[in-house]
Amino acid sequence: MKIEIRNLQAQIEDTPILKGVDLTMNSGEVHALMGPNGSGKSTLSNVMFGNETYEVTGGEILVDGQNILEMEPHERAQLGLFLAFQYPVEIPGVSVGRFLKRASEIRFENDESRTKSFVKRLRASMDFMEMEQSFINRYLNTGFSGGEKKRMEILQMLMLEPQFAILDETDSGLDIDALKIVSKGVNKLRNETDFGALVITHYQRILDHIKPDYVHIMYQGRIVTSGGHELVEALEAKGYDWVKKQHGIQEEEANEQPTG
Amino acid sequence: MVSKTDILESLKKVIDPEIGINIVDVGLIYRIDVQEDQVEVDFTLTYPGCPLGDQITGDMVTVIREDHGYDNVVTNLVWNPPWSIEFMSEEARLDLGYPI
Repeated sequence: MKIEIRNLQAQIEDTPILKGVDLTMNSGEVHALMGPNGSGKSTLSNVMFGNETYEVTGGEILVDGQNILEMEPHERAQLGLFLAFQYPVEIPGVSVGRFLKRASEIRFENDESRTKSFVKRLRASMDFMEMEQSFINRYLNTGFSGGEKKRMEILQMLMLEPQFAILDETDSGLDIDALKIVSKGVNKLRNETDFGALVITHYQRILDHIKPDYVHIMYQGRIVTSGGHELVEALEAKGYDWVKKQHGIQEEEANEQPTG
Repeated sequence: MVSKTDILESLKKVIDPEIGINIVDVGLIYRIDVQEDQVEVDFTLTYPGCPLGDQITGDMVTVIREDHGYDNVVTNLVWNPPWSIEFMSEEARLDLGYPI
């Protein structure tokens, strides 16, 4: 899958937030997106999935050449896109097991072998994510701790095998153990399927466990620079003030080079 | 020679009309015995007095005859052990909203 974001502009209640985002990503690649608060990182993921709170005022998002901006969120998901929410929603009355079974049936509608072995695969994935089996019967995210909600997002990814996932600040609120488990899940998909991801994060920590192929830094609604892991290290060392000084100026050594 | 598994696969085509799930996944088939010239099936219903016994019986006989050519199909309606929700397959229980 190829995702091309071209000159994307979006606003919320007449306040422009995305001011011309250009980004190309492919499945098989892991991209990291970093930036200070308010730079538009979460707005970008929301607009990619069609959150109507944001109004797109220009540009396009092409998935394999098709502009998805006219598509409903569920239609975008059916293409193979997945959003791991920053704040997963609680849905009382819908159990984890029933929800995942139904979603899996829709995702793999012509694959009988997957449907027949669903419970077996679910139990194995839950063991892998170190989640208690009893979670199958619990209502989706209802009463879950922050870490459990985030692991639940990754469990959905393992069961639905998207082609490209956006992880919207998945690391926020996670302790180191939960972070390792979440990363284990993402890396499993990365190693075993043609999977790509955009990891949106504020901190370097998750990128120690999920090593990105490309790093992009967002500032004031645009991607201002892209590079490899050296960018993450520069950010950690010099902070976002350094980005402000560099804003609008091409960093001399920045090349689009995979590190992994 | 036809195996018990073959008969079981055929019986998965018989749907319990009240639940909408096949009688094998509901857990209604208790015993299958395959002989050279006869197939015998012990089965139960989800509750005594279920009015669909005759229909389910008829469907079982028909499918075994059609799939495997057996003219002689003996069905026995038994009540021991009494059926309970645990006999239903996990996939079926999920579909109906039961815990697993």
